Amino acid sequence: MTKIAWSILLGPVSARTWRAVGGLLASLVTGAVFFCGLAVALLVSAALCWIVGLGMLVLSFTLRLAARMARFDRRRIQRLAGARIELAALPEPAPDASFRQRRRAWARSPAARRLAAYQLVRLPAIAASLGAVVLVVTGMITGFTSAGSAGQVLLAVACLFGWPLVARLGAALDVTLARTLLGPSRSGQLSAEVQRLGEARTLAVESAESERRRIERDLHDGLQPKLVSLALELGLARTRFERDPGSAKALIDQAHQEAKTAIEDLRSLVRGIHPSVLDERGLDAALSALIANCPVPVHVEVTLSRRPDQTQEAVAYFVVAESITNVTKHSGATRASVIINEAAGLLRILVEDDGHGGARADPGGGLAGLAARVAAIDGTFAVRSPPGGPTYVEAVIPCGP
Amino acid sequence: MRAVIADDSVLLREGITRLLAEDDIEVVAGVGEAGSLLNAVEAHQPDLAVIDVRMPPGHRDEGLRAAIEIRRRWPAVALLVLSQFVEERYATELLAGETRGIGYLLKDRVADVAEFIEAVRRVAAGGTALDPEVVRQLLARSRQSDPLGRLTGREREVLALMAEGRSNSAIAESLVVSTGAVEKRVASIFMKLDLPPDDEQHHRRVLAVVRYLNS
Repeated sequence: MTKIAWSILLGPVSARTWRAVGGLLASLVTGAVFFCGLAVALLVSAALCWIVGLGMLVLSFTLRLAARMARFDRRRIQRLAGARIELAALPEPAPDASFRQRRRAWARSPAARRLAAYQLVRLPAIAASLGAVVLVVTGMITGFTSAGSAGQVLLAVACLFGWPLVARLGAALDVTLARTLLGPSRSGQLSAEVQRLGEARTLAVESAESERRRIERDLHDGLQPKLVSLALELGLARTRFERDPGSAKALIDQAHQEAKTAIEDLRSLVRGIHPSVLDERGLDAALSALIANCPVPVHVEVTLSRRPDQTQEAVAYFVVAESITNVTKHSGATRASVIINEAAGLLRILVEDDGHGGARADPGGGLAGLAARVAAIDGTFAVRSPPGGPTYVEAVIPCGP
Repeated sequence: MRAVIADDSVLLREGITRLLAEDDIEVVAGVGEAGSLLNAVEAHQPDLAVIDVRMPPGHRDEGLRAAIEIRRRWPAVALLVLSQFVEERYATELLAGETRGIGYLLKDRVADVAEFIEAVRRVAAGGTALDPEVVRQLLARSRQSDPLGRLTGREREVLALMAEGRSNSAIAESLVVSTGAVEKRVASIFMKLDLPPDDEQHHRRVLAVVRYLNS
């Protein structure tokens, strides 16, 4: 309460008030120039609209002009009011679009029309705000100079502390107006979100498909030939059994050995698809087996207050698994570390190594697959791996309740 | 007899080499890739090529395409195509041209040594060996379901074995009946399906059956 009282008392001398006044003046000047320019352009396009094509040409030119003005206003507001404004998505005709297509894209863009509307609405609004400030200030000056009744003095004092509030309200109006009309509309935001979700879904489906293909290839090229060969050894042993028991025994020995490696292969393959200990005991437990098979020493630190849900755990696990595979196969690292923690509803997975870097998320590669999996559950994924190293792989997954 | 083996698994190449050696078939070259297969066949002109369908670089159907290429360029080389999976469509592609000496079997069949060697011999001698699984798919996909329905159960069994490429005596042995009984059934099948009368060249009768099932 006292804070508010102080801010009202100090209003007339505070930097914020004078910044607001400066901002309003700047907005008024640019607003006046832009308003006139745009109004003329719009009148011309209205006047020419009866000539087929020409009206649209001038309109698209006008809207492009409005977009330039919007970019200027965005910078102005950022510099003077310190507020960031996200510009709405403007038409981006394909690079090979014809002149006519470009023109049409601009003339029909609702976002571009909103930018023009901003210039038409802004000048009256800012002029009215400044008018109100001037009115209050004038009230204050006449109140003090005429110094009549006690009521007049009281009004003058009220005006003294009131005008900064009016000025700040005007400045806030300036920012709000810009945010509303220059920023993405609600439907624009929604359609951007829909597009993002669509892309994430496609990526998720693709990554699931490529994962299935990888599993098929591992089974087909790794395990199946071993089993066929095992059956072949036993088949040969059987045919030789009668006439040459010695060589039959050698074949059986070999088959026995092959059976054991096949079982081992199957185990690591199954673990690669989905380790059951992950479901049963969680991330920390599942990582033990993973790093045990890594020839590079890996430091693991998992700090979680509770278990994330199964999908989040699985994605986190595969971020680590793929990264550790890369550490083993490509990095040339001498040590690596895995740090998993949770803060503010975000699960953060960081894998670092001291290798020679140069890791990239190439399309179709393991890292790109991870990026898709993380994006599918609304997480973010980043790889920093400058040539010469070190490499950081970081995934942040929302895990809030 | 001389053979070339193409399979990207060294383990299997060695295994099959040993298997063929069991029956005095000499393996003159073992390769792991479709391109080198063509070179090996050109260099050695073997009697037989044993080819895995899926091979590097693409791990798709490189082996099958190499087989078709070999048939086009060196028609005298018998082809035994092996695969982890058999597909009726691949068989049809293989049999599309000249069908002398063509085999298409599941890889697992190598485990039954005697039967596998028998199939190798049959193919090398100009016969046909189609995996029972392929024949099953052909029968299931056949659009000629009406006439097939006119066959008796035994006749269908004989038709399947015939499509696999077996001779009358082999069919008789497998069904434990006399060769004469098989001959009678074969004649009856050919009549019911309106196929040209049985040919002495048995690869041609396989072809007739397969074409029929496929049409």
